Amino acid sequence: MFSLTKSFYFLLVLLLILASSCKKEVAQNMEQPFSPEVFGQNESFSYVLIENAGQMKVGESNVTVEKLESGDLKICENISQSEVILDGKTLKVKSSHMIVKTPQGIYDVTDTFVGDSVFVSAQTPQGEQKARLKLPPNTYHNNALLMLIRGMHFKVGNSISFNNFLPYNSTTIKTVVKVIDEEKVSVPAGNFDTYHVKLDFGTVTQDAWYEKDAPHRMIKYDNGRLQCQLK
Amino acid sequence: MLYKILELAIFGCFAFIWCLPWIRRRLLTLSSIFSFVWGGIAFSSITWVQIPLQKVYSEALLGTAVPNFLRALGFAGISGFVQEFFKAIGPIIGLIVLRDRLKFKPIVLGVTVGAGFGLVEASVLNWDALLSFWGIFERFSAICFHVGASGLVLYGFQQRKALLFYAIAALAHGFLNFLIWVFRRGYFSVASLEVLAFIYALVLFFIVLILSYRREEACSV
Repeated sequence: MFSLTKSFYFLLVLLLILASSCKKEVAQNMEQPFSPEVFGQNESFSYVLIENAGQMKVGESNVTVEKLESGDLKICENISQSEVILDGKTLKVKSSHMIVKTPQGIYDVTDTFVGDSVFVSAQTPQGEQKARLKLPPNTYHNNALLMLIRGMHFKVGNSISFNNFLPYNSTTIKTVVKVIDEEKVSVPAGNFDTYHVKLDFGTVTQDAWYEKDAPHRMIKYDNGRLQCQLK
Repeated sequence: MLYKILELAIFGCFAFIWCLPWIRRRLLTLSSIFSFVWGGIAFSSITWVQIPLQKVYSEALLGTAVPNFLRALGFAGISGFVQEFFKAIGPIIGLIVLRDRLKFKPIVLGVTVGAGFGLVEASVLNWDALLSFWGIFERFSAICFHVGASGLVLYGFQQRKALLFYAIAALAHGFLNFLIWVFRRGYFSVASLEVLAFIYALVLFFIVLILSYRREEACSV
């Protein structure tokens, strides 16, 4: 008869076999995964925020995308007071600013991107903090990500991979975005034919739905806790 | 600076409170101080081992169909297995080298190593914990949990079932961390999470306390 220790090892091996048998689809690496052509001169989107746990409306979020005279793109979001300036052609980030409110106080973070480095300057409750960090190639900014995906090649099964810079903790994580299906979605703004996109950050996945027709507005987004629905 | 001293004093008191049953029974010796210091050193395993492992794990999951809760379970599990291993390995090597398991009372070494780890974790990882009630409460229960978990592993070593008890402690630790993921999904309030985690830690602590008493009674017989 199996002892408790042997049963544990058996279970561990079984779990490893199960995990390795999970279907893994390798994402295609592209030089520039997002096209800048999809963005208009001045765009504005309003989203209703709904908590998944109680299906309660908890607020509203406004996102604006503005083409600057220099040709660069400015993406702003009101809740995190996030502002990201992107190169108009490559969509790589030039600078970003955001305010994070925590129970411990307010963190005002400014990132400036030069070459393959990011210069972080943060005003924190403990004083000013500065750092210079190296970035891996093919890095995009997390706070612009949901808008950037509008510029990906939408085709069911298509996937892209890149490095995602998280300004909250100044780290980069590998991210895969995959178009998994075509779906009809109902939101306060109406009914839409959409592409269902899965954002895979490794430890967690999130879902977003983009209008099939150009300019591929983001119709709905679900991060597991909150939903954003276009209004 | 003053804030840091105050923080260390408060968290030091927490560590003292959770070691109190063994202090009262005069079971803490010089070896307990070494294991307490080792607990603090073992905290660095988070930077050198846990985070790199979690990164490898996270990248291995990219593009797979593994559901989110299983991803989170694995992620939390890594922290349990790494932290419990590095907490216990110092006292275990010490005990093997000294070849005297009874004199040095492995459970007591486990309890102090957990207190050392919990104290350093509280002052390094949550350096602004004092700014909220739940921040302080979380550290109180986290130190309790570390004391219990390490005590359990070292009890297993004493019983020559180190691997089994290590697995139990690591899984218990991983499950506690998994609760944080559930909280982030919006299913718990901060208060419910902290109270639940405290009860969980307290149960483990009392199990170790009972095992410690039982062991002593067995020895005295």
